Amino acid sequence: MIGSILLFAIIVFGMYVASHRLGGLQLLGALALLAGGITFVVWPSAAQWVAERFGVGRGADLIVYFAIVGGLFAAANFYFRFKRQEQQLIAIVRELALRNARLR
Amino acid sequence: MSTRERRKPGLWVVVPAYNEAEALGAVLRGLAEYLPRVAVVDDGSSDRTAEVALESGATVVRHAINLGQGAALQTGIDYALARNASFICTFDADGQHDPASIAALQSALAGSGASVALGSRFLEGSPGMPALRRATLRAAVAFTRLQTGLRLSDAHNGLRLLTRAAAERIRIRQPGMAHASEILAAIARERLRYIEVPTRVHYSAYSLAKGQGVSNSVKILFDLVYAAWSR
Repeated sequence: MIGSILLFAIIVFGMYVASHRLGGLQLLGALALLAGGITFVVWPSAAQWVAERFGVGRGADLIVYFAIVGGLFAAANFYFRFKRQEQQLIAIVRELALRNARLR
Repeated sequence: MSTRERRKPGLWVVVPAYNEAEALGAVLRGLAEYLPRVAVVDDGSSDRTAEVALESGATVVRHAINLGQGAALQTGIDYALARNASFICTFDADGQHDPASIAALQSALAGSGASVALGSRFLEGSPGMPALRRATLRAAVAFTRLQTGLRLSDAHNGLRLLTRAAAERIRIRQPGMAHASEILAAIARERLRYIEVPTRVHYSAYSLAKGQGVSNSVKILFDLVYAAWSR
């Protein structure tokens, strides 16, 4: 049951990603996420196998660690993008303010 | 304003203002001798800040949305530079600064060979300053020394006088309240010569409510760490 719900969620995520143009690195990350997600849902023992190779006790732990690192990367990505856009917004508002001031 | 007036070089006073309609009228009346070369940067206020400034005879540069005091200061500096300012004074809109301090900064700067004059609340006593505010400002001074190596007595005073050359070399990228430290960092980086000039600050209930609290300094600290990292 949970497996089919997760698979459905992963497929929806895949369709969502496919409908957007992504850059090389982002596309690679999304594809890795999709492939990993499907693999671990269909063969839960695969996570255990990989975890043992990495010296992590359980497969679930391995997935949590990767999820945390991935989440941190995503958060940092959003933060820096926000800061960049903030600078662009400031430039636009300032340009507008200076132009209007000269018209007066 | 005639074309001749526009070309006349001189001192421009930059007043960043966000929802300061209540206090701004009195501040601008105090700055009467510098009008019309007072540029009020209305930082997207929702009250009558812009109208009050225009009625007083100041020039108004208006941000369409609220960006923060750092962004407002930089816009005002850009505007003053475009109007051929030879000196730029930054002045708070909440009435805490004494307009007479501007002349004190000017005469102190004139004989010093420095290009930046910074107002300081601590060279002379500032009566009426609450203890917590005093402690926060002391911490800011210590942080500034650590970050920039500048040995100042007051790190976050909104009253400054810059020569044109100095203003051109300072770019404020932090839109919020971290700009005070950012300006000092630029002074250190560009090796600008600076002096500190004692100025009195009037703490009213109004300016205290508007001022920077302890919780805000945590945010400022975070902004600065980000700025140092992303430079």
